[in-house]
Amino acid sequence: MRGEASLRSGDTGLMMRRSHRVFAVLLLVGCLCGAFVAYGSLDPLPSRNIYPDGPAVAADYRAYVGDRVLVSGPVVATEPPTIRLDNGAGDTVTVTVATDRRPAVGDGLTVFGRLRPDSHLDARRAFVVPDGRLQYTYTASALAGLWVLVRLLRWWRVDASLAVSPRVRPLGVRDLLCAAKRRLVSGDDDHNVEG
Amino acid sequence: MPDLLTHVLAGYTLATALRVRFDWLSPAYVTVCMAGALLPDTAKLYLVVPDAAVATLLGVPFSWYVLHTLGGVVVTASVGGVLARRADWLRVVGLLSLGAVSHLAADGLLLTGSGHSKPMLWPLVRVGLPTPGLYLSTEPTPLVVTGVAAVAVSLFVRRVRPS
Repeated sequence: MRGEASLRSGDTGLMMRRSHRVFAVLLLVGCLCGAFVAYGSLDPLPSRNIYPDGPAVAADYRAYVGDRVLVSGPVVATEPPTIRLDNGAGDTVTVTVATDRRPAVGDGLTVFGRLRPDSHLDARRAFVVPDGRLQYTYTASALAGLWVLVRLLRWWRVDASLAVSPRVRPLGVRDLLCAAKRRLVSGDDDHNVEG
Repeated sequence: MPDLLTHVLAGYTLATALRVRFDWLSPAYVTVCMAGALLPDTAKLYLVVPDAAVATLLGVPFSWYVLHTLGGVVVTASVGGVLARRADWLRVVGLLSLGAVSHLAADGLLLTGSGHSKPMLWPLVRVGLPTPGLYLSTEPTPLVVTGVAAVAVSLFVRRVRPS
């Protein structure tokens, strides 16, 4: 701790420690990128309860006909319930679901069942997520993110060697707002070291 | 996932309860556990940039879901450990992991269509474990439960350990 406190800008030790940090983070991000690709190349594995999902079905419907799939999507028609599946890259299918659930248009429907030819899905289990519930979830999640962000900014600080350490005394909410304003006005990035 | 507020409250409750045992666990460190509870849902980036969109762009298979697995959590928590000052790295990694693992555990109780949770233990094992299906991800009940727990634990700890 004393070693960290004695570091000042321009100190070679500080620059080294900073570059070590950057290097370590880049290394970890590299690992993560490898994992994104490794996981992305895995196929569904029904024998281990890992089923094709909505994006997979949307991308290649015929590949999964006869298989059990686990999909969810917005209800676009009722009588019978029809959901839209898409993979976010331009592939979309609409699937008619054989179920006794009666969702309204705009609700979400999650279905586990067997995929039939001609855009039919025999539901073995299905449940409805009413329209608005998703809104609630997003709102609560945004609040949570904001709460944690404010707490992190109040209780932690970053020094010039990019080390993150707890503050002795937390920033007041007013200090936080002032700092934000200062940054907006002058764009400066103060690495103030606490006593 | 239940909503993130539920996860963050669970992280808060766990870390606050640990204050009974660990002197150093100040609100700053409780915050780290709360941040850890957010980590797995960075996988929700797929809502902004879908897997297939990235895969098309890069020409390789791609899945954000990694961030919601044990392996992903180990890496993201390590990023926190690397950024923390030397004296704190172990505490930061530990608390981020605690928050993140509590998130995965809570998600393992969710009601799902197949009756199995997603393969969150990857790369250790790739299997969908049976889930008791206690709640839907969009239900407010877990939020109420964790909210009450957070207040109760916080009051209790304040009484036992006035800081």
